[in-house]
Amino acid sequence: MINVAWLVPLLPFIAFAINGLFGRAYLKKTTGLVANAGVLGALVVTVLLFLAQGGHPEPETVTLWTWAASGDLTVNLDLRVDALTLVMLLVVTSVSFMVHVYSIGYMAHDPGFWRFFTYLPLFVFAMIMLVMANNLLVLFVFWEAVGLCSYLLIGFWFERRSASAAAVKAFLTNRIGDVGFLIGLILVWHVFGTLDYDEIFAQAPAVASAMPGMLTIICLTLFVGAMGKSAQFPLHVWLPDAMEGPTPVSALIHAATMVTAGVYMVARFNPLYVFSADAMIVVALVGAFTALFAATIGLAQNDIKRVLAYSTVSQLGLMFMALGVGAFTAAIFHLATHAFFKGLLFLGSGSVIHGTDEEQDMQRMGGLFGKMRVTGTTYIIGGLALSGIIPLAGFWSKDELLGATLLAGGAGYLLFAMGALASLLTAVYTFRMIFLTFFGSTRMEADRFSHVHESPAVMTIPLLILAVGALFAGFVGVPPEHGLIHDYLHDTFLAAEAAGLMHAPSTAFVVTLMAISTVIAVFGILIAFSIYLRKRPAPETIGGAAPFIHALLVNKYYLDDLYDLVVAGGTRSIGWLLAWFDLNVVDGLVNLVGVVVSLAGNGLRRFQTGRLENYAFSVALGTALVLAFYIFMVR
Amino acid sequence: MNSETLLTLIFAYLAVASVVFAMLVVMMRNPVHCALALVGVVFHLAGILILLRAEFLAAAHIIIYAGAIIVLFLFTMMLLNVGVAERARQFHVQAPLAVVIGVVLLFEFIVLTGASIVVGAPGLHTPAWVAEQGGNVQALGQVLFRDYLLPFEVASVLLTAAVVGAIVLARQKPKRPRSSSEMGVSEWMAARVEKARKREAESAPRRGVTRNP
Amino acid sequence: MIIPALEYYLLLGAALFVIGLLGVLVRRNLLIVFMSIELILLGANVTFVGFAVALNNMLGQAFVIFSLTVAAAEAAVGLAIIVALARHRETLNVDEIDTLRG
Repeated sequence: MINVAWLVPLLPFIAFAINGLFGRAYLKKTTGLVANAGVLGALVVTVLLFLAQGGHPEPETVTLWTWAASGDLTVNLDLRVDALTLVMLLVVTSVSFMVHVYSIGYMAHDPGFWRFFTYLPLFVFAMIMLVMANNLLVLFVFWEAVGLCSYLLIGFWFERRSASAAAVKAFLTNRIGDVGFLIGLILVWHVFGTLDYDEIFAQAPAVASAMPGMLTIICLTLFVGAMGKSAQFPLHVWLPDAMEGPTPVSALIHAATMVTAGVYMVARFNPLYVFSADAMIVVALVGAFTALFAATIGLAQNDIKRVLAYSTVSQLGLMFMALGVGAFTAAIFHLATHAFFKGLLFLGSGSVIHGTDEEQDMQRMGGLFGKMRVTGTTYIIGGLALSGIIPLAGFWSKDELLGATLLAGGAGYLLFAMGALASLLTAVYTFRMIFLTFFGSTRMEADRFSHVHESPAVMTIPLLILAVGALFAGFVGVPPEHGLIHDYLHDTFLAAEAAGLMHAPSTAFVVTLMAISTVIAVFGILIAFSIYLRKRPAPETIGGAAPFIHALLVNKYYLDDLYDLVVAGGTRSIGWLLAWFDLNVVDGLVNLVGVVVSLAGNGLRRFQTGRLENYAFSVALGTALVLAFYIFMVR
Repeated sequence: MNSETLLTLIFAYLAVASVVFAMLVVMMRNPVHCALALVGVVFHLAGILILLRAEFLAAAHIIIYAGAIIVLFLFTMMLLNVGVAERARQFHVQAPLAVVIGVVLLFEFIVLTGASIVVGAPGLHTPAWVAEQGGNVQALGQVLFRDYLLPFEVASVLLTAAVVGAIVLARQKPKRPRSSSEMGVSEWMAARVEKARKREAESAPRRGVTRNP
Repeated sequence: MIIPALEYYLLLGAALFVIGLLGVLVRRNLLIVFMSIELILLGANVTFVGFAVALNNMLGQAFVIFSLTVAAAEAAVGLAIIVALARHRETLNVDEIDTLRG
């Protein structure tokens, strides 16, 4: 079965190629079917691969070809199939397929239909290759490739200025992270002398004892790359703006798959990270801070998609927090469940936007539940899963990563406090969103409200399927620390166990934690219920009570403005300086060269008389000189 | 007077005479005289070649130079009717400088020759071997047609190309007007304008329109 | 064994060569320039044959055959060019043909 692993990335790529070549002129609406077929094929092959590899898959690689061989550096294009890859593949292909089906309905009336279904399979291809890479350089290449697809799809409606600006912002912010990644890659090559995963991992203990500082630097630079891709503070600013893209894109790329690449990467390099306690604590603190920070912003946003975007940032922060305390399985578990319920929420928000004729402002919604029962129901399921209500998917994974912080001890208690607070805020903003959107009396104009309609089946069926995932996906991790997924991923994270980062919690601990989590989530929902449905206290009173904090939250802590001032302004100033330098000094030099050459040409022109005898004379003179040289110098 | 002295004297005469004729070629005003002087050079050089026992080449020089090339020169002069500009200036302004360079070159050649720097290993084709082949012509034939057959054939291709090239170059251009496909753009436009003017000039009186000149 | 010594033949060749070169450099008449080129070739031929005999190598003589071929070809093409040029320009003076284009 491993021999057909190459089919997984190939099928979406074929779909991309067909749609890209023939989509505009010939296939038109058929592109949707082609893309769906390609991704469905990838999903089927993945499932077959998963079944064939059994309960404890050994890491296997298939070498497709040698991509580059230069000196000591040999880069093979390998496909790696192991437990972590298979989990990621299952998540990526299944969510991708749901989003592809959904997009047929969502994008039905868009003139760029074929273009959309060209980019989307390309993204799936790149993401699959990213997950299956067995080499740091290949990983980096597809890391950039998914970034490119993200750029293309955020800027899908490029005629909208804000969309193209958001695309550029996402691209540039990611570049900053990628510089870190690239430095990490070069350092790995320098220190380890190889870029292949297994060879790096094999050398990790030796390197850790020989030069621990270098290992920490490598881990941190790689983590900078992960921060960019997974939108961690302070590089998170691009993700909320990325919501300018079509909603299926937000669901697939900016919630379920691409933004989790950073989490995947750190988990993949767990044999390195476990040897650097300093890097681990940085990862955990950045993650926890981002989780709390983004959750607070999420409280004050009115755009339904932006709330979800900040929620994604926050949840990714929780995953990094778990990675930082060594709970790799918990992070991957949360990654998987999050993919389902956040994908569901995004697609649900897309359905709302679709049904309300492009309304995204929650302050102008309300009371939609009666009009959109399927969307509403599935949305609430997704919201409950996100808030962490037992027994939905989000509960199990979030509970586990909170528990992991407590078990880590030391700074873990601080992390737990931040994580728990973030969870509380998550429940609040999630149900604020649900109450504002679906319940209460509507704030829409009457005639617009009358046009609100449920989305077609092609959109609601993926919602239902993802809702089932959001309901039951968590059970792969039950009981906590000993579920299916823990067993499955056990071998991947052996290094963490060897480093003593795995803990065996007592039943009492687990049950207590579950109770605490549930209380936190229910408490959060009740707060939201009280404020946004009962209006006791009314939201305005709270905002009025602390106008400064409210302004801070609405304006996202003014980070965008700060970046604009410092980074963009600084760049602009440097640009002006360089432009002056270029115009006066560089151009002056260039013109000087031109003047000198032209003068010299004017002088030399006199030698070109066009007369035969002068040329012949030069030949004779040259001959005489050569002979003279021979006589006097050589002989 | 032994034969060596005799041969040296003959060489001296032939060498001096060919150099003198060569100088005449370069210095005389009338091109026809120059060509005749060139014939003198070639004849004396043929004598030198005979001294060297290269009888075939001596004959070949006379036939090709005196018989073909110089006759070609004379034909050309006849064709172009040269000689009328005899009174015009014959030498370039750079002549004195050129003479200096020439003298320097000659001096350099003398130095190099006196140094006798070029001494290769004696070859296989000794006078005995030549005699064995039956003489100079047979020996040359052996070398040319056995060892250097391909270059020889290539030389024949070169000659063919030269003949074709000479004919194409010297051919009198036909006087007929060129077809439009052979014309350049500006030429074609000019032809069109000319044609249009002619037509206008023909039709103008018929319409009875008086035009200002 | 050649009489007199090889050096004399080489000097004769050099003299012819230099005289021919001077002809090319000083004469204005294109026809005479061409004749001077023939002189250069003749000088080279003498040198070739001299070496061939002195070194007992027939190759030098065989090469003169090719030199003759080149001379003949050059004369044919060159004179054809002179004819065409004379028709076109109505002059045979080298220093009056200096536009470098047709």
